[in-house]
Amino acid sequence: MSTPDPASRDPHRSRTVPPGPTVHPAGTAVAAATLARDVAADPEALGRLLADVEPLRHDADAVVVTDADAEVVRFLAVLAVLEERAPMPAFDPDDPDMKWYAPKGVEAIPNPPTIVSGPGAAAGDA
Amino acid sequence: MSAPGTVELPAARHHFSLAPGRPVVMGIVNTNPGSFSDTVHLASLDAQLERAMTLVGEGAGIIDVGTDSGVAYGPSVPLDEQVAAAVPLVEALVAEDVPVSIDTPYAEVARATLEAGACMINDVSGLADLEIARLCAAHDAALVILHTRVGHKQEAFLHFDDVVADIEDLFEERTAMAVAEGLDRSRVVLDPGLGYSKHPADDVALLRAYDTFIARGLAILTGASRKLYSGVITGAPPTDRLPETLATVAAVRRAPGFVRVHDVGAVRAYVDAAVAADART
Repeated sequence: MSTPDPASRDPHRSRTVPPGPTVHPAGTAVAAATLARDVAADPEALGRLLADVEPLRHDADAVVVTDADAEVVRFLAVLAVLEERAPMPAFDPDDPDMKWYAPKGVEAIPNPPTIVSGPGAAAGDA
Repeated sequence: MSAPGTVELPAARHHFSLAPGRPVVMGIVNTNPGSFSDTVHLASLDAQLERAMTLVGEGAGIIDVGTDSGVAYGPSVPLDEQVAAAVPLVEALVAEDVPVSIDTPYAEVARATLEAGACMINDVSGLADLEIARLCAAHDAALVILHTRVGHKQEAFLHFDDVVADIEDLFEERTAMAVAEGLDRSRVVLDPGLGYSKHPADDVALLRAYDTFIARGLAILTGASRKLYSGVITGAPPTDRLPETLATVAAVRRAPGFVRVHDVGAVRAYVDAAVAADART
């Protein structure tokens, strides 16, 4: 199995998800911004910003300038994969770079849950 | 008059009119620790109630009370402790007229919380125990049927030849079983089970196939919060996946139903702004 290059899936290193808008950090001098808005780490403001970014996601001419540039790129990156405009990265559960995914040591059960019914069925048997 | 595609969901003493593009935001309050993405354990009833009411204030239309985390970090909480923790919280929320869902595969927990006033059982086992369907029928409650092929508290990346077909098969089978136990079909909610027993690539496949699930004409619940597949795309850890959560919500917003999330305020703000943008176009 290959080991994914962490940089290859780090959107902070890429300011665009083609084809889509170019996203710049706050303070970047651009000739004309399609959308310029700072959110100051406010989650609700980020939600509103991304709702306004979404319709621009196919627009390669659009320019977004925001202090949430990394978050915008991550949002666009996920949508690009879901819309088949970008490939799904390879995933290896044993990849040590996936530090947040801790294998739990539980064996998979490759069968559907057992259907239990009737008054004698113990809760949680399945 | 309802918008086209609106699904009417009766749920005990509540009723949800679920319009496409306007999902009801389901907030999450866990009474016991263990969820992979919880950052704070709310140990007391007061803290849990305060958290729930904060989520309602941020725009949650229903609170999903979790009594035993589905992930495999530790052993199950004893059923009597789950009931003892959940019932007072349900009663307190019902007193505030807040719709309450219970995240459980256990009939004993479902029975006690339905009697306390919960209006929906979010059965994360995929209806492994038909008693859950009978209890929902008896209480006129809604029932969430979630797609999974492993038991509670077990994690796996199973191989599916066609994950969408497998989800459809389970929805068909388990809905019929619930109806056979007396539950009105209109009370069934379908959850494709994002992240449950699936490889991240399968999650992407199912998200691309949402129109298939919507075509069943039932309410759809999406557990959209901080999912692994999105972390694989962006490299973000579970507790820092708000943009990823919002992208998942964007992908499923057209489904009439619920989005189950931790970041209620941000998701509510996103949905409201997206609906406003819809109205402008």
